[in-house]
Amino acid sequence: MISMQSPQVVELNVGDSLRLVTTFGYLGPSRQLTLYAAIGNQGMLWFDEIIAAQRTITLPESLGSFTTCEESIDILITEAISPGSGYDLMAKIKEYPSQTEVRVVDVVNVIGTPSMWSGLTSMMLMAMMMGMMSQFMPTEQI
Amino acid sequence: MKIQALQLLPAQYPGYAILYPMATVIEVKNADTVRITVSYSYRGPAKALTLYAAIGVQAVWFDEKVKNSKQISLPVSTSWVTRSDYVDVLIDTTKISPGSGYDLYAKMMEGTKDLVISPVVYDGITVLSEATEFQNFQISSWAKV
Repeated sequence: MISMQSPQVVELNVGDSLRLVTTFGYLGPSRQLTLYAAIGNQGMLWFDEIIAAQRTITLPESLGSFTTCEESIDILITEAISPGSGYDLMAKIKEYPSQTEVRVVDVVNVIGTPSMWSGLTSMMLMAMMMGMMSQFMPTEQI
Repeated sequence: MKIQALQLLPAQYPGYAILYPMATVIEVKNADTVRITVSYSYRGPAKALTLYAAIGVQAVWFDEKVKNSKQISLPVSTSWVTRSDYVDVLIDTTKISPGSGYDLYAKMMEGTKDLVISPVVYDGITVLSEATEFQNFQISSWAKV
């Protein structure tokens, strides 16, 4: 029997972070490499990145056999990504894309409701505008 | 003459040496040094000889991959004196490919003439690959944090 489970879908707001966890087997000397991940859209030919993040990871020396590694990376959701559903994920080791690049499709929804972060920005803008307007208001002369 | 001990002088830990009992396999990588210690008995006049050692593959003849030698001075001795000396062989993966089952031997030379040759130690060295490989790279989970 084959059982299939649809992948977990995550809903995010601007200001949230998405943590991707990658697992892989590694064989080689101890090295510092770059874990790279992006949210975007998987096209017919390539992955159209909208937001990306990268971080340096240190892999342990593993010369005789593969060592299982787990590395994570956080992607901050910015206003660069429009509200919408069905965004895809991509992750790779930047220096070894052909051996590592993987995608997961239709797992991220960006919801339009402004998060606390964007709400805070709106409040700051409103406060600034009120401050500017108060300069043009008539003042009572005694 | 026989190979008495094998030591690994790892390139990444200068000043350290790991002594391996004979009949174990030493795993080495590029730029490591294998110290091959031989023991022998000598009597005769004072002589300057060459201690030579090689790592390679014993087939019909010994196919030497990496080797080294050094001069040793033997003092005059009218009776048998047991001695030991060593020679360091650098692992250079441009000359010895990563793989297992490499053999080694040592010999004493006077000029270009072989005086005494040790028995071959079979399958004593494994050269580890330093190629970088990944297996089953996957995004295992994703979540809002």
